[in-house]
Amino acid sequence: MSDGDYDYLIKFLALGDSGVGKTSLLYQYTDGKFNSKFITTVGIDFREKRVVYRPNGPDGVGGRGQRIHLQLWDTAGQERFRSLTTAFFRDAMGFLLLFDLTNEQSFLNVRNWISQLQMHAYCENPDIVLCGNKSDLEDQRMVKEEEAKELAEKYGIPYFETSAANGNNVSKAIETLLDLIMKRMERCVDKSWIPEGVVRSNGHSSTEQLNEEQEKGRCGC
Amino acid sequence: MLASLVHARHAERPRGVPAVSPRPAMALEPEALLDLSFLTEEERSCIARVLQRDWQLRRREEGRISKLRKSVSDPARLRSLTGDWFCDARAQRHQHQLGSDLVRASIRRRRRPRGTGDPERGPSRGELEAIDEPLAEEKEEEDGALETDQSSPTEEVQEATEPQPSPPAPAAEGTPMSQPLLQGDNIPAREQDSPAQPGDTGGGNPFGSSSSEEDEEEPDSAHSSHNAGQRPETPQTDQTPPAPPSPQNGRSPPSLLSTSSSVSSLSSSTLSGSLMSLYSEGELGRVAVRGRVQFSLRYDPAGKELQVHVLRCRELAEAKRQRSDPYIKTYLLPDKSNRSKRKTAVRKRSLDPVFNETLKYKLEKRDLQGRTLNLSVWHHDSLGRNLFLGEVEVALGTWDWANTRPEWFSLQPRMPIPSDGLASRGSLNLALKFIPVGSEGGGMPPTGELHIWVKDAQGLIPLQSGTVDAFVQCYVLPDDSKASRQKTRVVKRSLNPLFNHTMVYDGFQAKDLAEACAEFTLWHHEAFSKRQLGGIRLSLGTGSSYGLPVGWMDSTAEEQGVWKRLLQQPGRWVEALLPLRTNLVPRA
Repeated sequence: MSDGDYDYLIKFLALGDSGVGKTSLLYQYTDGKFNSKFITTVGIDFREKRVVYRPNGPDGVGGRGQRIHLQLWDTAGQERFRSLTTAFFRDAMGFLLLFDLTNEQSFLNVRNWISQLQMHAYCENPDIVLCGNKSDLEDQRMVKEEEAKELAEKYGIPYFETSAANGNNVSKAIETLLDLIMKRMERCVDKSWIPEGVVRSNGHSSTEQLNEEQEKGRCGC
Repeated sequence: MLASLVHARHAERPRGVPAVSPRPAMALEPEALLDLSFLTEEERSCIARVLQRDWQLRRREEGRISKLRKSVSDPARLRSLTGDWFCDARAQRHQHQLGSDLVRASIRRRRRPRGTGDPERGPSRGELEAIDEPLAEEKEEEDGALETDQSSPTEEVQEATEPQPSPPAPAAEGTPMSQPLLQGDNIPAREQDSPAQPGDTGGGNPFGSSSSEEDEEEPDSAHSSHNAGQRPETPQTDQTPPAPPSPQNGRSPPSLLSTSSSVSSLSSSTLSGSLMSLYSEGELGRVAVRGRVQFSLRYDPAGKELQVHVLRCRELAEAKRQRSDPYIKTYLLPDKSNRSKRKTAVRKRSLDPVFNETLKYKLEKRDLQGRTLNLSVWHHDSLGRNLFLGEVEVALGTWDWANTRPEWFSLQPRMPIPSDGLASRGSLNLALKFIPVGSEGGGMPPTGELHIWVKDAQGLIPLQSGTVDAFVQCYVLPDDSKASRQKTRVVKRSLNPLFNHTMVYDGFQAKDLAEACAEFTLWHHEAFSKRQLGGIRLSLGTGSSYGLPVGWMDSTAEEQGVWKRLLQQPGRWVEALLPLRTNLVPRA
């Protein structure tokens, strides 16, 4: 990844309470590994990964793959770093908002994080994917899937139950976010706007969650 | 900081506005730096490393984007490939800075000395770190104004406070060019965005040689600040310490003060009387950068000429009480030589000067690729040193040449270079004695004399592998003229060089000593240059001299102790073995 031989640099940022597994999720995604030891993130960090993006339109006209260089910002969930981490919100095109399925407070704080994003992100309604992490710890679960889905729907964002430990849904969550970003980019760039409905039906297989609010996403483009 | 400049042009910045109104015409709220003082040293360096990695990624991205701009003609495609779509959207909300730049700048702030020589600085001295070198090209700066920025406290950069039409997305928008806090060795310092300091003379020496080299220029130029004739990068051959070997070979105390060939040439009449004016005219550095500058860029293909039309500045910092006499200087980096330097005339007494001047560079358009326009604002001081008031940089390779309208840019401070972590590079062994006027009877000496005996240095740590060809240079500040400068001989290839050099400064009264600072710097001598290893400053460490705030009154407790003993024990040698610290606050 030392060369600029990619087509797009896409920047995501993971946020959420301390200990929900942001670092682990990203580590799982980029390296396929998991370390159960909790090492708190000092302020800010990022990981990188190359992926190929193939829009999987139902028409099968995927076109050639786009080479994506992902910059995945990892933020400290600790309150003391807050001013620092929120400053990075504006640099990201999309957000992975995590909570811990075994920690109800981290779920309750999701709305706070969303309002932080609305305040500090590059636009008022950025693309967000909500991840209920630690799905492998089913016996300790404190947040029901329905509750989480409901909340996600309220905000019009996709929801996944992920496990940084076993990798379940990790790639899917991030790829969904990528899909949202690529679609938004198309809309922004293309002067002949694709009607929103079409965009939606064109959506990624796992993006049924896209809804009206989300689509209103004016980022000023 | 520069990265931000591209964004800085969007003077409009709706932020913290109710979500319902997507684009308020003007929500003007200056973007404050973050208070990151809660971070520990370790955390800061950890974060700095992340920022460094980010910066590398951004540089790579910048290169990719500039290629795209040349090769992709479809504007829509270009917009997506370059990420302009995102930058434009962000620019509507976050007027100028990338978050990572804001953090970088914020971290930087704490690294700087606080306040302009605020008297409370004494206690906080400990946190001062070696500050970066002045821009290399500034070495030549007529009046050596350059270094001032180093110590200028980084204040919040004032944002444009008036709504500006949002300019078309500048081509460079998607190409952050900011600089990392830490400079990688492999990174050409100058290219890093703006505040980059090329002066970091290899080896990570936080000091480089320039800071004092510049001093050598001053006395001559003190009265002609705009004599652009001085050669910047020319090796200064006069660096060879002229000081002959110590007259006393033995270790006998230099009872014959004046035998030293380097006895001060300060006459008793000049010193005290001139202290005040020297100081006030020349040392008032550390201007907190603020304000902005408006200029347009145009490339004239017929004349093969780049035209920088400088219109004006707004809300510049006050270099002196309530005034600045600003002028603007540009370089076309990476060329930092005089050939690359252009200046406007000086506008007297204005914080909102109108220049309306065009600075021109002849070059092929393709040569703009890879060039960066560095535009800095200076306060011209006809008697002292010019003071840095801020700068902006524009990467010309990614500039949108279709945009020839005047744009506003927020002025930025310069970035410090982190030290290489060594607190000291050895220690210096010396003795001092103050002889009050008439104290030796018979009216002798006719004025107070400060005797200095530089004995030896111990345990030097070379800047690079190998050894050190050392010499010591001394000033008694606030007089930083050549007349005040004394040097020992060079002792070659020794990490424990024996100098045994004595010198005398006369014209002192005890009360002058309280305002003065004896500065000793140890240098590695090279054929055409010199590099500083470290230094000590003996003073009361008050942060001010004759009532004016100065950065160099930064003596450590230990150094202060020596100076106090000197004052308390006139006529007696005060011995001192002190670390050659690497964090001397640069002199303005």
